Amino acid sequence: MNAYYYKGLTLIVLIGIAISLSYLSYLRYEKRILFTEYQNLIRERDRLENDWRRLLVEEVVHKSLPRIEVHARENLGLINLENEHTLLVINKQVISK
Amino acid sequence: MKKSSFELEKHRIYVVSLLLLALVLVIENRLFTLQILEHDFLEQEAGNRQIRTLEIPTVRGVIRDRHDALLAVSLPVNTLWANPREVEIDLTKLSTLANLIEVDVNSIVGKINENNNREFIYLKRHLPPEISAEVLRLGIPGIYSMREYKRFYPEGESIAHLVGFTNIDDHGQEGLELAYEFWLGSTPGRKQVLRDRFGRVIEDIRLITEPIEGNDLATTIDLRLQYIAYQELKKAVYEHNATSGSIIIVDVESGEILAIANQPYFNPNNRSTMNASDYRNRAVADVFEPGSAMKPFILAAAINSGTYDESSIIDTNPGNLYINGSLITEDPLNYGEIDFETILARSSNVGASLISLSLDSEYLYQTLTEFGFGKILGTGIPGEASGVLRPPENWVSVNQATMSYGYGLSVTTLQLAQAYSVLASGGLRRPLSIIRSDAQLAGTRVISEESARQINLMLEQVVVIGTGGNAAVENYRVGGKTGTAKKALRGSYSETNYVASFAGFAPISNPRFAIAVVIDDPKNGQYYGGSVAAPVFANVMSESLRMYGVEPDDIGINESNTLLASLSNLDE
Repeated sequence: MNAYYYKGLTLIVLIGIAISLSYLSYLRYEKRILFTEYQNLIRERDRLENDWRRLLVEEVVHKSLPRIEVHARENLGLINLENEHTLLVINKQVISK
Repeated sequence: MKKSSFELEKHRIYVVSLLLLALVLVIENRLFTLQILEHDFLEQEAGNRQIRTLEIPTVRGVIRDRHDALLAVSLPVNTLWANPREVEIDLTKLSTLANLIEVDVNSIVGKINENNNREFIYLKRHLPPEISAEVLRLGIPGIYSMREYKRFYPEGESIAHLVGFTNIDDHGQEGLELAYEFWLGSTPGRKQVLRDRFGRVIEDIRLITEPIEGNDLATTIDLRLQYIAYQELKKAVYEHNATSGSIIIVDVESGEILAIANQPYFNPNNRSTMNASDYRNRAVADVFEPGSAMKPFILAAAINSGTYDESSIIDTNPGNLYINGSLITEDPLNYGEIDFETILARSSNVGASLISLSLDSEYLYQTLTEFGFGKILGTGIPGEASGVLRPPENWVSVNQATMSYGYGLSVTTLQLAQAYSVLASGGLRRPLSIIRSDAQLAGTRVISEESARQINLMLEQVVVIGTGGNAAVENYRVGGKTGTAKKALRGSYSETNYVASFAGFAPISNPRFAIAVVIDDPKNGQYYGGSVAAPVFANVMSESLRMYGVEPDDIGINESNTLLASLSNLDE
């Protein structure tokens, strides 16, 4: 009775160890996969950050004030308004009040 | 039975001993193989499959203007490094690498051989990502790339003095970059990783320190105004062959600094050509004797004291001033009996001196201090100088006379801008600021609103009829004062070197901007504040008013430019 009891217990413990071992190795495997995925995502993030910052610089260059000024004055022919170009429009009713 | 059991036991002992011996032999054999025969191979294997501590790169905060445009931003770059212990000297591959990174191949090989007891040397820092990727594709063992950040200043020279720059490790060296290092700076994290024999990270073991990113810094600068101010200043300094120059634009309503520019300039994106004396933010760091730009504050103190008002008459006969028998100053011609307005408009030194001498020195000192002279204003811009305003105990009457026309004391461009913005805001001093903040700082009253109003109307006349004619802006009422001070060189005042300045504000009916312009040592003939600095003021002011859509307060209405119309429908 006693012997059977201990043998049974040993067997259960052994089976338990076997299960936890295989689960452990499964988890290790899972971890490796997730880690690779994580590394890829980090690389992707770095790549996107490169792109984003490069675009940022591009944007800055495009909207730089000297560039806009040259474009406005030379290509679009824009000028500052002087008084001789200005016509004041005054509402008669405001004046009559 | 007893004997056989003993025999059996003896037999068992032999078996067990033999087994143990065999086990010892096996272990010894294994030890011998591992420790002696395979030692080198195994050590190398261990080295290849190792625990390493890696840095986790972080990014420094960006600096922005008031509309969030970028003034300084960190861009990712790659840095190539080598582990000299692992590098195989393969000359064909190494020379391809040398070509890519534009370094001499012999110097690379030399560097690797010299440092073969170390595990980390830089090959080339701050490479564009494409190039480092190409190098890595060569597959040279022991050569790695890591991510770093490099500071980029999109606006370049126009705001370089304020923003400053960082060193190659991205730590602030000058300007806001230095002053706000604690805020902008980032701390890279560190982690332990397991790497395989190709140097690839195969596992994170633990995080040693968390990376801390830098915070963004929002300034009060308006890049559009900054650009105009910088261009106009540069043009004037060049045109008049001046040594240096500074300009500051202040938003009168909030005390925020909208633009601050200097000449000479430097390019923060190209460190190789930088010259240390060009870094200085002269607008806050350089002091000069302000000359006549000082007069409005003496007159403001006089009116605010209650002893004088706008109609007070000063007798400047005979057009010069002697104290204790020595000539202190004289006017270009004898103006006779003149009022305050004329003293400012004609810039009469004698008139200003007489007013100054009649005031209580303690009161005068107090008022000038409250305008911001003689002290550090605490704007947050690094390198602010206090200038010199001697305490009244040390004054003799000569000092009290000369300071009324701006000699014997020194100020910064920043202090001039502050003082004129006090007049512009109706006598309230709002502390100048460079960092954006939602908190509206309450102003401190320096002089009464009525005193400020009277002085402002006089300053308008300086532009309308006086020495500041070139500061006029079409359609707006402008007020300000010229300053032309002889430079003190080697103990005496030079007759050929001047500091020309103009400070003022507009529109007079409801001032929006205060601008101070200082041009140091113009050498092309013209040297008066009214001819050198006032035009810069006018151009910058006119553009600023236009950009901010400030309502004109001086439009001449006549038949040729006006159309009377019935617009009742439009009103609704």
